[in-house]
Amino acid sequence: MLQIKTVTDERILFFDGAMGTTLQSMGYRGMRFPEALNMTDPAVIRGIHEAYLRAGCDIVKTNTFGANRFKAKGTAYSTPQVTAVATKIARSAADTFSGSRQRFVALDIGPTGLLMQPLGTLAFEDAVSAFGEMAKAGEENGADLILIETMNDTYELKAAVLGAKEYCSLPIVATVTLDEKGKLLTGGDIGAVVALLEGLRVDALGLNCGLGPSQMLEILPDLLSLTSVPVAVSPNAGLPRSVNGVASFDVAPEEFAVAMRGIASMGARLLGGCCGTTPEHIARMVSAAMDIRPASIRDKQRTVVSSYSQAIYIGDAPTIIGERINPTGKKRLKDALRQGNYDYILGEAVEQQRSGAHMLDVNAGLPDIDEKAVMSELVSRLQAVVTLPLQIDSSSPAAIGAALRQYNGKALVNSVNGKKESMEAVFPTK
Amino acid sequence: MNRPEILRYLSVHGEPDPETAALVDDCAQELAAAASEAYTYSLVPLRLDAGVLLDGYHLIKSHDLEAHLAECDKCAVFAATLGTSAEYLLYRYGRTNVRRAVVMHACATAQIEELCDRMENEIAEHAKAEGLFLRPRYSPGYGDFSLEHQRDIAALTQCGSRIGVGVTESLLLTPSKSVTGIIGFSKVRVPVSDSCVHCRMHDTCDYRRSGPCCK
Repeated sequence: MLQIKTVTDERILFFDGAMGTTLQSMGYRGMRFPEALNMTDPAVIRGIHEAYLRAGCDIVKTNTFGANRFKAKGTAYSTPQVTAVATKIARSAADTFSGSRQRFVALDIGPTGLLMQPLGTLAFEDAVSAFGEMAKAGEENGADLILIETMNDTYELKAAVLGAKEYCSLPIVATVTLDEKGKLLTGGDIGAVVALLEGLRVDALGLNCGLGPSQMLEILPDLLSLTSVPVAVSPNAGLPRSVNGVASFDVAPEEFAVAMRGIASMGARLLGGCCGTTPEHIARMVSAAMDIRPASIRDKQRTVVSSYSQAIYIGDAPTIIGERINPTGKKRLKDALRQGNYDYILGEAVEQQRSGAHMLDVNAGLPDIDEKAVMSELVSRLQAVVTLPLQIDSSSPAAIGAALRQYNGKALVNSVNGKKESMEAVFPTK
Repeated sequence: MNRPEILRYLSVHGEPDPETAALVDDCAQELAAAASEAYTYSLVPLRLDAGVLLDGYHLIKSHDLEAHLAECDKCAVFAATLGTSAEYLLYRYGRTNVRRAVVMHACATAQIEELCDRMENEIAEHAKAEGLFLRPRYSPGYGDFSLEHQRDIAALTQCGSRIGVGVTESLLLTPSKSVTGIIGFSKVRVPVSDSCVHCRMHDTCDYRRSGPCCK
């Protein structure tokens, strides 16, 4: 199996460039489901993979960015079917080029295009299984890794990583799209992304799409300063300008290559191209950056928790944890928990955030309620109305597990004591 | 911040009382700081022939849009949004402070319009370079321009992957404070009528009754 950390200790790994804008420039425009081309025009897709392999990339991405079940709905094809065929096309192309240097296939997973509940319509577990079925079909048909990319919401990102972890055993690279201020569309910052992805144990993380190489170069120091795993960077060829229906991008191959060399020198270990990049961009990038020895990665040794919006680093200064959502000795809260009066509890949460708490404790431990169910409900409601990280406070491993699974971030767990059985039940096994 | 516009969405006629004015200002500032504004557009050819054919692929059957784009052979297809961050803010106040939520919705509607205005100014530069003029923005849901075409606009602009704007099964946009639409490029400048006479709301307009007009 591909060991991303080990391989990139020795050399930079190169992804290919754009699929979507390449198809558009070839005249495949106006398609609601471009992944259908895997079925109808496999030679065209294979030709694009081959052009990138000839340009010298190590990893080709399957033409499955939008192959999820929500986008496939109403087409003649199912997600597993399209994913299987797309992976076989890429596998076959990569194998043709694997000589002295092995070439790899990344099963490409993009966002669903739907907004997650409670803001939107997509339920967390539905997202997990939708991403999972793609990962499964990818592994079964010869993919070497999973690339989750262009994510702009940590919650959907978490669902994608969980889906990949639970439905296959391949290494995972996850990259997000940031705006010029270095934020996700949800308002989440880089620290929140890194905390979440490292907590989920991805093999590499980074940035793709949205920005050109020079803009990513500006954000990169922040990302590298927080990250303890290999970093991947795949910019657009500048910013999109759409003229006469064809997207054109303003960064030429040589300029792209020079910027990517700078990005590699700074410490990124996986380089590639997103929208607007061509085999020419990738060829120039590979020759410009292939001699760079990847920088060593220092473990940042930070204790970090996060919400969808921000990360909190524990240890630099006192961390204030609001304890108002803990029923011990609070009659009104006990009543609210028993009656399902969540509005009262959300009000308490907002009030604590306004008063300066850094994190919020969440405890639903009453003997006469279903703690696991109430804790889950509380977490899902709280995380949409406060920007603070949550602390899951329970002595029930089942309640902790349910809360952590659907938590949109990396939570702190409270109330684990030092007894062997308590630690074995709650701590991760590896 | 366009305070008169926000007050209009709130149906506040005349000068607001100081408390309302302060609340509006506070909400508008909080929203502006939180929003992740983004837009994207494609400039595409169009043909008017038994409907509006965009980019040679997407046929829109709409008499109103066809009339609106008369004599245009090119247009900008756009999507704009205040982002999921604004959605979080609206959700938060919807659950915890309804008074603030109402004002925040009005602020968000005004802010997305302002964003569209800024985008339109940029698009106008493209038109100007070709000696062309812009028609007013026209969105799915106007007249007989069916919401079904949100999907065509999403495909044309790639707004899902570019700026995170999605179309739900019931054809609504997410995040909710998002706008899609079409802006025609025209060889002739069609004066935009300020007169209420041509407005569809002429007979029922609350503003015409109580004040001069909505502008």
